[in-house]
Amino acid sequence: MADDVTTADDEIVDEAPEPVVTRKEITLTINGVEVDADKGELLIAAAERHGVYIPHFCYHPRMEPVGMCRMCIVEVDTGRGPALQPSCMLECTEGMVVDTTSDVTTKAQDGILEFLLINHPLDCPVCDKGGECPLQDQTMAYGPGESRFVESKRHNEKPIEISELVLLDRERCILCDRCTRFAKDVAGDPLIHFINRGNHTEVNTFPDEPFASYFSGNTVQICPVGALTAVPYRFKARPWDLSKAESTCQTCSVGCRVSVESSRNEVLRYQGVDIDPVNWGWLCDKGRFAFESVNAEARLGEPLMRSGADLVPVRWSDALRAAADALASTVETHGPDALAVIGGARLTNEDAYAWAKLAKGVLGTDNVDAQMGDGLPAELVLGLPAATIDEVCAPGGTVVLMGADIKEELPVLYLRLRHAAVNDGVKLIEITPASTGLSRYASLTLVHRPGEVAEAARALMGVAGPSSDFGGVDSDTLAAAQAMLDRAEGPVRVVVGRSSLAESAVFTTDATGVLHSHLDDARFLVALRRGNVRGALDMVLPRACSPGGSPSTPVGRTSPQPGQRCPPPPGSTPPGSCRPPSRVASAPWCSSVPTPSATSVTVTWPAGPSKPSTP
Amino acid sequence: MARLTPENEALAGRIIARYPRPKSALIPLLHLAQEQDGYVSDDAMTHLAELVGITPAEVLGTCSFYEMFKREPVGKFLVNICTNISCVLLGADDLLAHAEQRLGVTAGETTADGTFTLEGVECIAACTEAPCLQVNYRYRCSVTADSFDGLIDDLASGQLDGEIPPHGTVARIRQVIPARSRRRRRLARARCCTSVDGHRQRRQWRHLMAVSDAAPIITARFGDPEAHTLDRYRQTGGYEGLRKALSMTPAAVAAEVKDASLLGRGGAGFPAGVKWGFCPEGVWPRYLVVNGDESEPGTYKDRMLMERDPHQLIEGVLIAAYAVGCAQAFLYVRGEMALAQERIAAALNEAYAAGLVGRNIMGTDFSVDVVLHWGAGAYIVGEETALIESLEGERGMPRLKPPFFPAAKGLYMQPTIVNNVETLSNVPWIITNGSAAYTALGAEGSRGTRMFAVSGHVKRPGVYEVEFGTTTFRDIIFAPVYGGGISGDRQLKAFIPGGASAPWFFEEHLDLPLEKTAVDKAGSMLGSGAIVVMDETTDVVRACLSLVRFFSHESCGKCTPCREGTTWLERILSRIMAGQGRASDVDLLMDISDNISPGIAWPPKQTTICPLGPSAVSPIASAVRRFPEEFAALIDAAVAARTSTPVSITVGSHG
Ligand SMILES: Cc1cc2nc3c(=O)[nH]c(=O)nc-3n(C[C@H](O)[C@H](O)[C@H](O)COP(=O)(O)O)c2cc1C
Ligand code: SF4
Ligand code: SF4
Ligand code: SF4
Ligand code: FES
Ligand code: FES
Repeated sequence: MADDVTTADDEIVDEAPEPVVTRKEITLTINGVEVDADKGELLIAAAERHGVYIPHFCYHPRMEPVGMCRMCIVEVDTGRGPALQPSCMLECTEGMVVDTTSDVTTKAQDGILEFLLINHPLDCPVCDKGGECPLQDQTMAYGPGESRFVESKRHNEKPIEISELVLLDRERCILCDRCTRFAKDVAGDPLIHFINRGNHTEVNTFPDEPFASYFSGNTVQICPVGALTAVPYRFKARPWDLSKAESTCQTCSVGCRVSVESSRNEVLRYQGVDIDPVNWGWLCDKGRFAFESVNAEARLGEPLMRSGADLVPVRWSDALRAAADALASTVETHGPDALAVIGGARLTNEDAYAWAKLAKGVLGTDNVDAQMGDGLPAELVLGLPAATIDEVCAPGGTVVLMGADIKEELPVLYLRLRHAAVNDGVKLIEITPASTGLSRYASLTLVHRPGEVAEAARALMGVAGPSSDFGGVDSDTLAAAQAMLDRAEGPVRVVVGRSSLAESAVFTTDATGVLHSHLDDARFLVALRRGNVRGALDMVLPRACSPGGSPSTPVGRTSPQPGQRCPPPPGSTPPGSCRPPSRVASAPWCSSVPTPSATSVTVTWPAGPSKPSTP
Repeated sequence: MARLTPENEALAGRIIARYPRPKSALIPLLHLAQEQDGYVSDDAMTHLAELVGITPAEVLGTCSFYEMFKREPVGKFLVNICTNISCVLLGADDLLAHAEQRLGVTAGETTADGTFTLEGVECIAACTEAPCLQVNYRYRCSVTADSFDGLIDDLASGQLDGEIPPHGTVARIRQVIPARSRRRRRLARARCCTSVDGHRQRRQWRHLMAVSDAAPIITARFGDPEAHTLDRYRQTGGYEGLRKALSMTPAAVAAEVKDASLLGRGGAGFPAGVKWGFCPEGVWPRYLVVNGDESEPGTYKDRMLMERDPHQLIEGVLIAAYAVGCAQAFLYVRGEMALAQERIAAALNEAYAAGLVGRNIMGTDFSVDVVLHWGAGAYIVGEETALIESLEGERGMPRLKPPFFPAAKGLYMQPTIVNNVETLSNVPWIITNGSAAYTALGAEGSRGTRMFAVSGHVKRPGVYEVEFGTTTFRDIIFAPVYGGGISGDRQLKAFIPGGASAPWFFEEHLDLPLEKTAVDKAGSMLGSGAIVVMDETTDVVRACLSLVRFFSHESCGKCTPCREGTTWLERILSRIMAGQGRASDVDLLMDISDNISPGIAWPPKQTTICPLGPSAVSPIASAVRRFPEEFAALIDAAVAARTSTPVSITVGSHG
């Protein structure tokens, strides 16, 4: 348990994205102390880095500043005398002199705070945010003791449901534009918006069109007041009662950093934790709210044993004994090869290691897998030269997206890719049978007939057979994509996944082989679905050797050496036909390994004391 | 109601095609929807969202920002009575009360038969003809109770149906941008050479205009009711400036304007020629945006220029576009100005047809597309960055400067020059007559002439073009050719020298020349050239309230101090007016003002994003400092009344 998990976005200023500008150190003075800053660094971030906290509401380090709340105004002298400037919009410049505590600064900030409070209902005792609310904190720290506002406050209907998961109390809203900015700029779902004007401005949806975003829960987390609350958490706990543990979301393979927050032994919410390599503080709603399954009624809480048509609750010791007996008798009667162990792709690496050891070291079977028909062959996952999310999203790069609809399957990876395409000039080339959540942002979308992804890949690589119709891909788009790949600066990154579970993984494997053979230095991010598939495969896959150990045969993570190329793929097969898995096996990184299947692997059962004993 | 009809959908497609980005067409499209149904329905918004490629929530965000868009059906006739300063000084409150009584509704309501909707609105740029109103955005000025009744009778009987289309239709003339292929490639040179001799001999429009020593520059054609047509404009020397400009290099044209020291007429008074030089080298495309959103209370000049001499403006636009190197210019006209929109649409159509706008202008290889765009009711859109946001189809919320100076990062983040209508209307004359002729007029720091609207308690309210510097406030308020003195020969109490945002002037300022530097130094501004005169009978608290209410109503809501502060100020003033003042109120007014504009000084400092917030402080500071006794009288009476008879006052929840 780590109690000091950082979740509130306000505390992560120092994890703001590195400015893209060249690092030119400049010197400025903050409150009489000379400090340094990067060129282009925002004053508020530089101050924070040097331990000077400037109060703020609308600024969020992962979003473009808007300078709206005015809480962060400070006196800045850039040579023309001190003037109040919003530190969230002001880039540090050489010689700038900043005073965050001058009388003028303090008076102005106090004034802003008072303005924010005049229409604020101050219903802290019944507000979910109470205890972790920047507005409350600011008021406690600097606020006026009493109100000079004797008029009646703005009144709105109490919470309105802007989606099934999110409620909005417009009275509490301070119009900081964080939620709306997130919806538009980060999620790309501008379904909530400012409406009306001036003092009547409010956040709302279009009538009867809810904020149906896969990312809506983030708005609750970043709202600096309790205006946005999450249905599953509303009124459940006070922040100071929560114990927090930093962890990893296992709902999909992105592996977002989360803080698991619970009270009285019940998980009550997940909050995103800002880490650079993965989720930047964001979570998808699937990941954020999936914890509800932990407390779900339908969840099995105790072992059940079949007795005729019924499942009867039994004690753990009885259940374990029965399982052990069944395993032992099977091994005795049919040999260990008759057993297969399917492991949990949501487990930690350590857990995966343990069950792999059970399978291989104890039961003696090599029939292990961590995927259930929704993945890709382990050799492919482990054998391809890998790219991290950061490498895929590196500014200015070119990315081929093949197969999966990333928005549906790996939502936060979608956010990263969207950001890369919209803000960092990354060009996306999609190869897909249907338009996806990223098609709007893709430079080119190559639409192929279902099942013909390999044809499309061959066509893109210019190695399609003479009679090929490119899997149905439009030839102009194809030519444009080829030109784009030719112009690509730096190595191309490929995100590969399966577009449909209804068709064999072989198509994807095949197409991946084509790209791997023909794209120089390409690196691959394999878009698997389940939480820690990658780790599980790492732990369990190596055959004929101890789990997690280095394989004795050239399998596993052995990547092709530089210059070592896959043989060109054999001539094209008629569109739509199933290709044998051996196509994959022809690639050097998986040369001697047939796809794992319960029938094709033979390993000897190692004798030993750990063999389950019969009662 | 409904989605757009197929015909309107086709029209929508043509409107969208005019803009570099589809969302820019959103406000015109919302007008189209409102024209079809009389209001903007949810279905129509959904349809527009599809056409423009955004979400319905985004359409709603824009739609709900602008006053003119109604989301519920309104009466066939929307009667908007101005309740701002100049009109209030001349009895707008009474007129509104009369209207409520006559129509049997309170402001904001619709008559039971669905014929009339009555609204009290902010300044509609007819301040010198107060009190005034608009029916479906058609003006009626100097309205009395009797003339109001007559108007209602005529409207009800359908007599005015020819002049006044049903609510929803604003301009009835649309700009037609010819398909590129059909655009005239060359213009016969002979056709645009007809010119009568010069600008100096034109008739002056004596009724509204009078000019000091110098002949008028921009109002020269105002006396001619046909001046808005291309033929008449050309007969009077029109487009000669453009011809001359096209024979010069763009740099030379820009230099000429710079040498003329032409000051911006939108409010800030920044030299236009200098601004044109701010576009970063080598960044293309560049845009020109013409600010015709005139709505500062007391201001009435740009509307006149657009209605009476649209070609002069267009010529100025073309010359500016040539000098700056803009490929496209947008003429943003205030939404409520139906006639100005029609005149400009008609003028642009003529000019396009004559090869004066579009491809290969006057047979040269200079091409520029001029697009008529119009707003939908939001004063803040007059601020240049808000204007740009609005032109992008967004809510008109200002951008922060720095970093978003339009000349560097303007429309679509490209270099953009924003100039006021009056500013650009001067340009043809400057090019035709040369900068030396221009600088021969006016005083150091303010060259040429300028239009001033004199409104409020004067005998001859009107719009006057006067030479900078040679005329004083005393002249323009008291001289028989101008304001003619205070109505009823009463005493002057105060006057606003440059629009609602300007701190007030008093007796002792009368001898200041109408010239930027002097007025700035004296602690106010010439701003938008709006002089509002208040006589001794003026209730300054009421005047103050009408100005502050304006700013609070027009605050875009983007930044906290303006959104919350201006409303708070307005509510305190209303409370004082309503006899519920408190002893601490004056200090509170001043302290809130200080939190919006620290130091309450001139030029104002601000905790806000744009100068609108501090503008609300100007009238308060002026009135409280000069007439504290008027506030005290109201407050003392209220306090006394409360101590004698217990009154309940509204007290909100405390913090
Ligand atoms: C609150 C506010 C309202 C403004 N309204 C107008 C307006 O209605 N018309 C106008 O031309 N300029 C207006 N301005 C000034 C514009 O921002 C801008 O300075 C001007 O259009 C530039 O043109 P110019 O240099 O030709 O004057 C306004 C400015 C502010 C801050
Ligand atoms: S709901 Fe919250 S995040 Fe959204 S604008 Fe209001 S205060 Fe900001
Ligand atoms: S993207 Fe995946 S890992 Fe991240 S929050 Fe969503 S489900 Fe969890
Ligand atoms: S000062 Fe007022 S009008 Fe200007 S940006 Fe702020 S809220 Fe909007
Ligand atoms: S944090 Fe800078 S203005 Fe809101
Ligand atoms: S028109 Fe009424 S104040 Fe301007």
